[in-house]
Amino acid sequence: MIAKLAWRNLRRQIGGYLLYFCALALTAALIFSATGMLFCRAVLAAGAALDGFSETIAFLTALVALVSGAVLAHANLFFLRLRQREFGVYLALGMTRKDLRNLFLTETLLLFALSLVLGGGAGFLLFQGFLALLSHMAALPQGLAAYPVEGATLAALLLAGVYLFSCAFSLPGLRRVQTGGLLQPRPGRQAKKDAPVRALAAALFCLVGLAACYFACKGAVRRSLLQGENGAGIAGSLLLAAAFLIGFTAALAKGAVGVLLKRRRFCHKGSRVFMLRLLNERLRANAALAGKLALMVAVSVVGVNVAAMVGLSEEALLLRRYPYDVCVQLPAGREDLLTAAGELVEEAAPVAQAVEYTVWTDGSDALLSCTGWAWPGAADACLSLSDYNALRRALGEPELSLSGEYLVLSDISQTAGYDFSQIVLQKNGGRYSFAGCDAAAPRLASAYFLAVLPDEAVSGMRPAETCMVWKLAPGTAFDAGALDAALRDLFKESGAQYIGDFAVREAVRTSHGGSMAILSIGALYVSSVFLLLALALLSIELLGSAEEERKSFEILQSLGGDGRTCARALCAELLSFFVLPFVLPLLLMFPCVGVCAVILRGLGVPEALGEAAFFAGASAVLIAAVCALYFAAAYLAAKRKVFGGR
Amino acid sequence: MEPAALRLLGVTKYFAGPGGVTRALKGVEFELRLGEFAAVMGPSGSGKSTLLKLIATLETPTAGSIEIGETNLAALREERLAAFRRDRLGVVFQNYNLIEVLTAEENILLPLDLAHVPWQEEEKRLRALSEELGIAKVLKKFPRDLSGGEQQRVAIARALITRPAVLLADEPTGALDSAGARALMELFCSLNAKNKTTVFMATHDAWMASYTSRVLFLRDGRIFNEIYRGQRAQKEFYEEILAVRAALEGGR
Repeated sequence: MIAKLAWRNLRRQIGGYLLYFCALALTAALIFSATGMLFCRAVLAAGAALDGFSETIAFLTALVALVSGAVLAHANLFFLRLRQREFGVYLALGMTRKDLRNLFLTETLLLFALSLVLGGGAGFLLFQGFLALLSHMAALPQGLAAYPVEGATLAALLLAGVYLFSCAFSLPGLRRVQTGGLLQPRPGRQAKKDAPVRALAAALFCLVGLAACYFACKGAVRRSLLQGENGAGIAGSLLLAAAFLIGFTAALAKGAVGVLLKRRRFCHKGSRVFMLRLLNERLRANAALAGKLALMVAVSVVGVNVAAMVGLSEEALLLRRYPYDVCVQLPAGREDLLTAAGELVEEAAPVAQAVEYTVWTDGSDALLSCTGWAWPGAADACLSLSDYNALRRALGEPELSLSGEYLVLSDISQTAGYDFSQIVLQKNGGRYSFAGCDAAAPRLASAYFLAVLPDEAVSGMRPAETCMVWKLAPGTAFDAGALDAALRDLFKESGAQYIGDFAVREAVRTSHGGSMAILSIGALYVSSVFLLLALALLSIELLGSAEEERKSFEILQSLGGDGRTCARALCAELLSFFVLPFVLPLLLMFPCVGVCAVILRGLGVPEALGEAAFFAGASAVLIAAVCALYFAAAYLAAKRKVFGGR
Repeated sequence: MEPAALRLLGVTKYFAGPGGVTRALKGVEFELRLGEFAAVMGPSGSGKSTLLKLIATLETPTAGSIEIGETNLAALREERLAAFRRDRLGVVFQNYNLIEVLTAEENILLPLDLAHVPWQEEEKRLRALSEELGIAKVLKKFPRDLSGGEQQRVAIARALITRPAVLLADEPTGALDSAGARALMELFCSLNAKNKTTVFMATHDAWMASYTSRVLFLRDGRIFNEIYRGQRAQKEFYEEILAVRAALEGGR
């Protein structure tokens, strides 16, 4: 009997809130696809290239499950509140509270089973999509992959956890059901003190706070890039920004319409006052929810932006950082290894150009002591101007000349944050003053910090390292992985000890691409889940109160509002409510691009900024389009509920 | 003789339900003169509410025609019908049907807003009407803060603000106590006498019906009888209404 009733109730609910259930099934599908990737052989086989991928996806999946649980619990409580009277009737008809609980649990269990079936199916397709993206970004072999059973099991377990979590939170709501409630009229809308001006002032304050957070975040990002400051400043400003965003949206929901309603002449036109009052009620009742939704959408927007920026900066960054195809760095006196390495490179691919250079030292640490990373016994490393110019020539860059000056050269971005202007180097009887600093110089094997000096200053120093860079003939394909492994073998002296350092650009691309793919896919995953959950919450809120508004619209019709007027009022009201949590988060793409600009400039690839901005705009348009489609569906469903086929 | 404010000719209404077709009204015919105050009585299910809904253009008749003033309702399309309902008809319901989220003033002005009446005119009409109905002090309040009587007077103000040709009332006293109900009927009488507003009311309360000048009796979707008050005292008219009602119910 209870099973039958539960099935009927569920069918009725799904009919009424189809959109919500669709979003829920898609979330389940996303969880299925993510756990699938955790156990996918193709991904696991990529091994070192995708270092950290599993941990990231596992962490994000746990986060997603937690948020879905909270959303589901909220939705369950919402439905319980809507069905308060129905449950009251069951009690009055002689059901016990235990029966009620069983009914509720059976309903949610059926829903859970349904989401397993639907989510599993859709999850398989999404899994293939994510995998294709991953193969594309991390240069893995492409093709259809079998969906791993462990992944499906883990997803099912996670969803079960989500289900139990939401039940634990919503069951107390069932205890509040009273038969007495049947005798009283439906609880009316509560009279709350309306203080729209104060709310708007609060919104303005939050907006100013958001702007301040933006500048603080930009500053923190710049400091962390240039001075190696830890991420506490960034995290702090982001958390504050999240709080301000919630506050702004909630305050706007509380005050915006109230201020309009004070302008009587504006309101008394057509069905405007009717629409604004309904909207005001709805917004004020859901102000806190609107704030949370705004945060979810903002996470989604920022996630997409991060994914886009990461993807775009990757190639530019790689070329900027590794302009030479292969570079090798060895301690002085191991020319034998240098020759062997040269042979390996020549075997692998035709060489277009090779430049050999020496790093010198005289034991002084005048420059290093200015930085934050000097260690006892450390000595400044020097490069002669002629070697430096040879390196520049290989890249087609103009030669430099230095007279009585030195140049600081480093691939560590923090170097730009230190002041060398007061330091005068005394070498071979000459005095050399500071001429400038290039903190975004290309990688020459490992991280370095060099002073470029005129040749006469270097002569007489002892050699510290012998190095070489190669540019390969353009357009040749070669097995970068094999060359990388061969060099690794060559330089491995004993155990984990490497005698020299090297870099093969194409090998770096694969591993780099892997970590970038992790970031991108992780960000996209979180983005889509948060967007879906936000849409799911909005749809039940829209459809749930549409039923309450039916009576108001009936009265409007009886007073002479024609079908078009009524439909327009409903559309304007729902649209305003729907749009509120989206506007500011979508506008957040502008500060996102601002922060991206700082990061890209810090990484030395400002040329990627144009494309990053374009992608940010395009992603905002895409999110807006998804929301518009979802809104259109929600509006049609609400219209059916309000006007009921008339 | 005054011209006809409302004319029904052979009005029939069927409802198709799961259990077959229900005939709510069968060939109802009558006329209401301009400035007349009439009531329709009948047991539950006799078709009173359907009749009122048809006149209020909230339903369309299956057959027959309804004319209000010079306008035949059947000739109007949906949009024109809504405009007609807004401009020419005022409707008062048993449960007031005030929109809860609007203040009393906003409720009253809504039909004028929908008709895009200029603001100055709206203010003028509102001031006059709220003084007349004694609700000037409660205009800024929401329905939930008003008493039943006040809510009904706000609903009447909303029905009258467009200066309708006909005021329709469906059990207007149903939710009021007897003192409130009497006050409301006296208000209807004075509106009818002073402004020559045509009022047509559905009620099952014989005493309320006795305030009118004419009572129609409806049974099983047909007009069973109709009586006029003429020059008689209210008490006498009331007794006749009771007698007709007894005959109506006895004949079942």
